[in-house]
Amino acid sequence: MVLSAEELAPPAVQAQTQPPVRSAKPAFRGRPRLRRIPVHVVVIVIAAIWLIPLVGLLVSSFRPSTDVLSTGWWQSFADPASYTLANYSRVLDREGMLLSFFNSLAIVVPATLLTVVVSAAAAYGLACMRFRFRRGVLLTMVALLIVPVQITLVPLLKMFNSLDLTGSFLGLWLVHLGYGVPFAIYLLHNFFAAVPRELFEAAEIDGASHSQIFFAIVLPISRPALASLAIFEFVWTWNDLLTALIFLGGFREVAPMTVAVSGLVASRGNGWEVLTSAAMLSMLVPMIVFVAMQKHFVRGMLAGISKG
Amino acid sequence: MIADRVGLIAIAVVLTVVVAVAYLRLGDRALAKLPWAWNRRLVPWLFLGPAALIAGLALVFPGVSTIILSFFDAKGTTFIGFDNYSSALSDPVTLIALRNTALWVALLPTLAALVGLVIAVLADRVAYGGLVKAALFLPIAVSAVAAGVIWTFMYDYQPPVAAQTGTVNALLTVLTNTDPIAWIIDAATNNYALIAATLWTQAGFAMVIFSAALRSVPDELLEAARLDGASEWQAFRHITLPILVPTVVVVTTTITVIALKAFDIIYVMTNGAYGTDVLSTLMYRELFTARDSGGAGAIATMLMIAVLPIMIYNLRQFRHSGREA
Amino acid sequence: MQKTRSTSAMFGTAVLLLAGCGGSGSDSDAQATDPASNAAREAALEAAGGEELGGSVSMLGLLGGEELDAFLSVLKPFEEATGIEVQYEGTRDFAAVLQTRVEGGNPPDVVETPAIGEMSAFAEEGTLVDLREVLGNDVLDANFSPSLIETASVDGEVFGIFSTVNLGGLIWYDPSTYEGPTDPASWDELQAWAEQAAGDGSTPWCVALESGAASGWPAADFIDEILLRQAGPEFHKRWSDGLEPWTSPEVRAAFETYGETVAEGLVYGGTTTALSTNFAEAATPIYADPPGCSILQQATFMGGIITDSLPDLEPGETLDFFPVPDFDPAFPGIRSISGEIVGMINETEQSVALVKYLASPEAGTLLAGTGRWLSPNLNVEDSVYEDPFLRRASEVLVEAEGTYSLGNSLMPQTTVDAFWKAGLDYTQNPGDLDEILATIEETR
Repeated sequence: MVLSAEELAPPAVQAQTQPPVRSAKPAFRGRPRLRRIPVHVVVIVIAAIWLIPLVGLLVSSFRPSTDVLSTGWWQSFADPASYTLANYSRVLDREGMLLSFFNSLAIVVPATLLTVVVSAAAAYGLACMRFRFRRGVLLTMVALLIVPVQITLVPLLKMFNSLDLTGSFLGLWLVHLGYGVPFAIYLLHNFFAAVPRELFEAAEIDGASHSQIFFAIVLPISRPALASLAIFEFVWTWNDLLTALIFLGGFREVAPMTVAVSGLVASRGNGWEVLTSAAMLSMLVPMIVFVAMQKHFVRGMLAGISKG
Repeated sequence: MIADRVGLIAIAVVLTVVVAVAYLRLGDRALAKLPWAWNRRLVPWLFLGPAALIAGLALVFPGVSTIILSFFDAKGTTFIGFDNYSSALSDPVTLIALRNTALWVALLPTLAALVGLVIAVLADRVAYGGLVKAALFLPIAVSAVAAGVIWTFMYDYQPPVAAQTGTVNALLTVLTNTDPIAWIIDAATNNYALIAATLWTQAGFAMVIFSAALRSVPDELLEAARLDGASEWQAFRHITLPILVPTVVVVTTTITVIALKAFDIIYVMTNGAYGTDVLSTLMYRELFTARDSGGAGAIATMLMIAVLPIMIYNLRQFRHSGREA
Repeated sequence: MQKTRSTSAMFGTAVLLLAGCGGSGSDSDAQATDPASNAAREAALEAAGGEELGGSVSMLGLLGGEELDAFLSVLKPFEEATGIEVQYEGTRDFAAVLQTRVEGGNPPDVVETPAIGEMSAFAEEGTLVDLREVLGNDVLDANFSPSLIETASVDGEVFGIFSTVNLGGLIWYDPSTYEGPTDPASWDELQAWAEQAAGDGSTPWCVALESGAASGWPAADFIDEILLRQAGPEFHKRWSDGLEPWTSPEVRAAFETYGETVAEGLVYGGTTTALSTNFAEAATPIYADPPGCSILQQATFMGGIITDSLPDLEPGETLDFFPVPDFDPAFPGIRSISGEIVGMINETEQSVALVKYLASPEAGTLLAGTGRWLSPNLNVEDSVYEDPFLRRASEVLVEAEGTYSLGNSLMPQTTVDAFWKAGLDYTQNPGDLDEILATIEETR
């Protein structure tokens, strides 16, 4: 992702002294079409493989558990009368499910925003500034990816208990922030480091401070990267169970959806059929976030930026 | 109470943005008042500070104390040197876990990155690309427990005479006329089955990141190449791919770490039974079942050491990157 | 993050979807007025020392789904009478959460769990309060049998009182299709019929061992029961206390007896199916047409699980049980039980009140009335059990020569885990029995 100034300027065009030779393949403008069939085949096959389990889940979520256990989900199409909304009503009618939905949001939205903001600043410092411990800090951050969550629980809990942060949303945000920073910095550093030098130089000549460059140049250009990060932090925090249980608690008033849904299944695992509908419902929100973030995946952020 | 939560979200969002902007702007301005050399030295820490602090508390401190604890006994009171390591490494269960973890590391990152890259590149070229990307993304949105439930059903086994309820066995018996396979029980297939289930949840991750990275490939370069008569494949191979290399490193490194730490799906589907143990399930058992903080620490430390080669490789990548003049 | 109008619309729809159906809530503020609830409220008030204490008590357990609803209904009169709010957290990650909280410094006030061995480890560390001091000998002896008290004690301190009990060692069958003996004189007679049925081409035994992270526990429970009744209660006690090794011939024999149920041709679908099928679905083949198997060994809770998934079954007509017959004439009429215990970590006014309430016969009566469990309380009358299976189970217990807790719930969790895994390994590879037993022994 790193280009020097020379690589950035299209050499082929500059070096061209003759008009382009008419090649056997016509030059397309815009999105070129590939040899159609192999592309479609590959894409469709992969998409199909990835979708089949979800289709199975979707269909199963409308079937009573006895059916799911005795016949494959594809066989249910022959008997449409067997479909039922029971699995969904068990989740939706559950007292407190709406509150747990908002608890989840109250955990995830601030945690995601916090992680993105803090990590973007840190990644900017690591990618765009030169200072003595830069490489060491970056390497440490990336190395921290490996730390298993389970071993951090007791030390962190002790710390939180002494600070009276346990059971608070703020505490959980901070925990998610701590867990999310390594990957976030790693990812953003990769993108920030690719921002062309000229932009910096131009801004520095104009007397811009680092924070100004950060907010006015680097962040807007990195929308796809920030959007990707936001998607992942959102999804990972949305699906978290253990951390919320430990640092916030499983009590009804504060339990997120993951905890509430797991409470629908009995201690030995019976009642699992409710997990099919719960999973479908739970997927809705990250899906919405994913779609919402798509508009940030804008192409050619670097194109057309004046180099003069 | 719901109103409380909404209010909380609003306050948190607003405060985060306001405080962040104010902190950086004001901090910058304050540091600008210092002599240039000091300013230069301190500004990076202005940006880095919060992240370094929280990561230090949440990860470095527990990580270091875990490594230290690995040299102590189960209660953490008596120093026993390398005993935890030697007993772990002489235990056949640990060796199985090591072998399996290596298998995960070998297969998961490469396959996930490959599928993710292929879709990231090709989905843009077909009209229904958005749907394809969504299809790959959705599994990420599924929780580990739900993924475990889904794939337990995908791999369901019924006796050969009965109708198959699991999708995989149904396809297998219909297409190849062989007996169904107990994918999760059979030691020859179960590790691969678990890896496949995890791959299903990770390919979308690679795809999203590659999608973002592809946006930064300058159109002019590709245009020029096409005008030159290069085929799509050549354009991809000689222009796009080299630009993507650092992202490929990020993606494979991250998924390698995910493979090393793989826990949830394995825990939910087999809890390490039938020879599917990996280092994480082992560590979990030591920590919460055997309540042996020393033994768990040893496994965790082994896990953390396993990542060193990857870090060294990344270090080399960082050397080549950045604004080193 | 800017949200486009379409995104907001989608978001709003998701919220409406949940709003329209959720939160309607079924908790009526009206108090139940049946005599059992009234009695329970009085008992609760008494447990709280006669005053409405208010405040709250936190409770950690692993109940979920309908069984949690049932348990909470038992707690409702307590909350109504004393004003104390019981904050229940149910999670299957119970061990991880409890341990982290205890070491982290914010443990729950009260815990409820079937892992008695795990609790005894906590008790030895001094984490659990001695309930003998909290409840007093009189209350304990009046409500619980000596063996139950002793099971949940270590070094003379009582760390738990039983809240729910399950009777093990029952053979479930469908009376309308079953052709074997319903009151066999001995295990050998039952097994002889099974082998004959297998010779005729059917697979009589239903076995299903899968259960997520705890897979193998049905086998372990049955082996445990066999050992208790084949080698006798004294050996069983020494074995569960760690005084007899797993490699001893009695344990071996118990495994092998269990092995008779998963032998080639006797178990539905072969051992692969037994290993792959979730325990809750073990009975499903009984009701297939033609039946895939006819007898299933499981504890009392299985009745509720079977009727949950097959609601059309008629107790007594299409679903019934008979106790597993004796294995050895030297030890007749022995029954095994398992159950959950309630323990206290933080001694507060509220937690003391809750534990006293749960120890009372009134709470036990309510619990028995839920139809999910047997109550351990000596003062709960048989007539309270409306569920026919529980009533019969209660009679079986009363008529038993001796009732003992399953050993595996009393052992340290590492050994229990190894035992469960051994159940799976032995089913898959009966020839490796010696190695399997040695592996479990190593965890001791």
